[in-house]
Amino acid sequence: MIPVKVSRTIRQQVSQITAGVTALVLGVTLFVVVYISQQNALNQALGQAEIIARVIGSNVTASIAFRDPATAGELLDALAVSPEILRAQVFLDDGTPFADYQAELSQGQFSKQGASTGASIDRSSYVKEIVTPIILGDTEIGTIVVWLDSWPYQYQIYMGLVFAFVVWLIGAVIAYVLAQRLNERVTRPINDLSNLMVRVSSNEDYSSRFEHHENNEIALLGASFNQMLGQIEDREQRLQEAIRELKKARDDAQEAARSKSSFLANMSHEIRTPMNGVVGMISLLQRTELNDQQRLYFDTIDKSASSLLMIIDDILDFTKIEAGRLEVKSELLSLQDNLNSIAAFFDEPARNKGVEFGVTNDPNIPDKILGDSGRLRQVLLNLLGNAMKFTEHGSVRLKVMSAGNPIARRIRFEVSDTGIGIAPKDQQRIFSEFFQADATSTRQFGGTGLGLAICRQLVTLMGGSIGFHSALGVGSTFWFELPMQAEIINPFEKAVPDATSAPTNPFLKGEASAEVHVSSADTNQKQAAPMAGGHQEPLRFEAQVLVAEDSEVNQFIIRELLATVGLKPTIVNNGQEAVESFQSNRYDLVFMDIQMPIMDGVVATRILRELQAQQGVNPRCLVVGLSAHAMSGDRERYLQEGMDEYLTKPIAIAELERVLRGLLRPVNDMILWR
Amino acid sequence: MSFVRRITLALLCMCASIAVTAPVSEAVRADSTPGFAAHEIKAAFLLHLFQFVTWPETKVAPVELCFVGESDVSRSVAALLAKRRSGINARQLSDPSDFSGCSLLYIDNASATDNTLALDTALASSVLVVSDQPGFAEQGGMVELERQPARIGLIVNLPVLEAAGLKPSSKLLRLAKVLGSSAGF
Repeated sequence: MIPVKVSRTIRQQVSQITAGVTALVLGVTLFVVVYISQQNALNQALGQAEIIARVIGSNVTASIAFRDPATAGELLDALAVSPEILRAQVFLDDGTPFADYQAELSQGQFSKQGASTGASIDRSSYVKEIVTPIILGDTEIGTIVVWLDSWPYQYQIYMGLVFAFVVWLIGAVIAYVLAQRLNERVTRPINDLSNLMVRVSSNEDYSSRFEHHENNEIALLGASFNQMLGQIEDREQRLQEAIRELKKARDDAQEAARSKSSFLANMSHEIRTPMNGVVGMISLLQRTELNDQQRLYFDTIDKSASSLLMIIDDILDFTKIEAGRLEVKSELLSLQDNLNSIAAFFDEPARNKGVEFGVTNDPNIPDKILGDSGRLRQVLLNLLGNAMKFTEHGSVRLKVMSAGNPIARRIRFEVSDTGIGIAPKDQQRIFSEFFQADATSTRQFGGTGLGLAICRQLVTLMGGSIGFHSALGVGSTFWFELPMQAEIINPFEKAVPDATSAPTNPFLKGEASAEVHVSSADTNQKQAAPMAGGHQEPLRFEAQVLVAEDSEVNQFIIRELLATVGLKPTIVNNGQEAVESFQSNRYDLVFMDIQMPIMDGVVATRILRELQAQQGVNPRCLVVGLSAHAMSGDRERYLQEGMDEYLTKPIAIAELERVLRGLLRPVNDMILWR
Repeated sequence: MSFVRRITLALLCMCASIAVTAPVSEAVRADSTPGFAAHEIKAAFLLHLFQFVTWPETKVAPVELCFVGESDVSRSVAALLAKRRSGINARQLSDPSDFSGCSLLYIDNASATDNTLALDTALASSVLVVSDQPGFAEQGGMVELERQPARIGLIVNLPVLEAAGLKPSSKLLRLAKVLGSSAGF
């Protein structure tokens, strides 16, 4: 908006200046002229009076010479023709009065000294005394004094001034009015220009132009303004075009990102489905009767499958990071629990390798902190895995300590090893994607080279920093720091046990199950889980189960899995069949695959819920979602869609058991329904 | 009788009467204008007359004021002339009849002798003849200084004056008693 408030327009200013100047000049002129002319009149009168005095003086010389006051008096009487002459006196050279004349109308006495007695106060001060010497030959023989009433002239002067003032006043007003009218020629273009500018800036209409008719500076200003407007218009157009192009580019980019995301999603599913089959089969096979050779073969296959899954997870993670789709949670976790499970994971491999392994924690660090336990473990696993991988002898240690300053506290994790170290030339690129220190180590130790890059991304996403120092042949220390966010003390907040944590109180299991997030990393640990539950005695359930799964392989797997816990499910191929079966049969639990043709799991679940609510079909039946997707947010989404639980494929037996235990009553257990 | 002769006669008679009236005028002289004696005033008047009468151009300076015999007036005149320069010369006539060189001839009443005046000389030489003899102007004199109760008055015999080629100022005539008219006789 216009920042200037117009309190006096140019028109007013110009008018005021013009009128002011005119008034001033007029006033001064009038005053001077009037005053001078009136003063002249007065002076003239005075001059005349003096002349008369002189004339009379000249005439009375004889009277004085011959001492004849009578004739002098007669001569003085001639002054009666001038009514302004109040009195005249002739004095001899010694000052004695000789002859006197007084006008009839003059009041009071006038003397040579000029003081008046008893005359009207106002007018006495206007009496002027004119003294003229009477000269005979070359001697002054006397003096003639004439008293002149200058009031009439003074009065005229005053009247003249008053008149002049009135004239001036009228003149000034006329001048102002005329100035207002006439300066329009000058000020109108200015006003037009100013209005145009206001309009242009408030409406942002840059197509207006200023029209000028005169050839003065205003026209120049206007022309420049027009030019400027033209430029602005141009720029506006170009700007709009640029915006359009940018929008298009942005849309294209968004489109590309979307494609990428859906590719990711699809890939996630596509890859996991066959993997599910492989891994599931392997675990099933491992539970069968095998001879040593077969067991060995299957263990090998298992290892390979696990490695493959790890690699796939890495790749998927990496692509997620690339697409910016990776999200890091901020949930309550137990630092000690996580450290424990990590430690447990590496205990045996370290022992087998003959490498010392230890975990130390700083007791001053609070145990309950906010963070993403899955990602934290991922980073730790990666770093420890690397350390273990590249260390043949010596030790691998994990140290946890507090860092930062009292205002911004951080937790520092240090993984140090006595391994082969990293050559200085490689240190720069250690965190780069796809970088391996050297080709031989890749062959020797394996890996995609994505691990550290992903670690760095994850640490950054968690708001921390990562680094290392290493000496070739001596060892390396990789560290990362995360901001320490202590828990928000809320007694009603539930503790979040992790899937792979130490055995927790089964009484709490049911409540907590909703909070547990299942990440892809978990599947790697299925074999390492010092597990929770159920290996003491085989778990058995009794329930009517429906499984909706479109893939034959997966159908097979799940049938076998459920068989291990004593369940015999009905299997259908898609959501539609599931709904139909649901309506006709009694079920306690439904395993609903998400991705299915004809009708997917989400829709089917919704329909089932409606049937339950409105028609009372299988009112207490529970639904467990199955999906190969492992994206963050999926679990929550499906739970919101109405599922009671959620499992990712490939399904880990332990997970399955946990879920079943949470939802059903084991035959050989005393847990109540949830 | 011719005019000239008549004048002469008058003058003679005047001279004669002067002796008679002299003591009278002497006595009257006492009460003149306050502060000034009559002879002083008359002396002033004589000098002033020069300022109000125009002599014909034939008369040149120095201006002579002639007296016949000494008198108070002549002494006053001398005193006045001594005070300031006026370009007027006062002298006593040695020969009463030879006054042709004078501009003004004053005949004092008191000191008049029985000199006879040659009037035609006066007329011919443009001499202003002034006297304070009463009746002087009437009897053909030019200017008479008249004794009045509070002042000295002037009586001017205009025709005689003009006949002598003298022009009196109107200012003078204004305050004088003027005898006769300039229109002939």
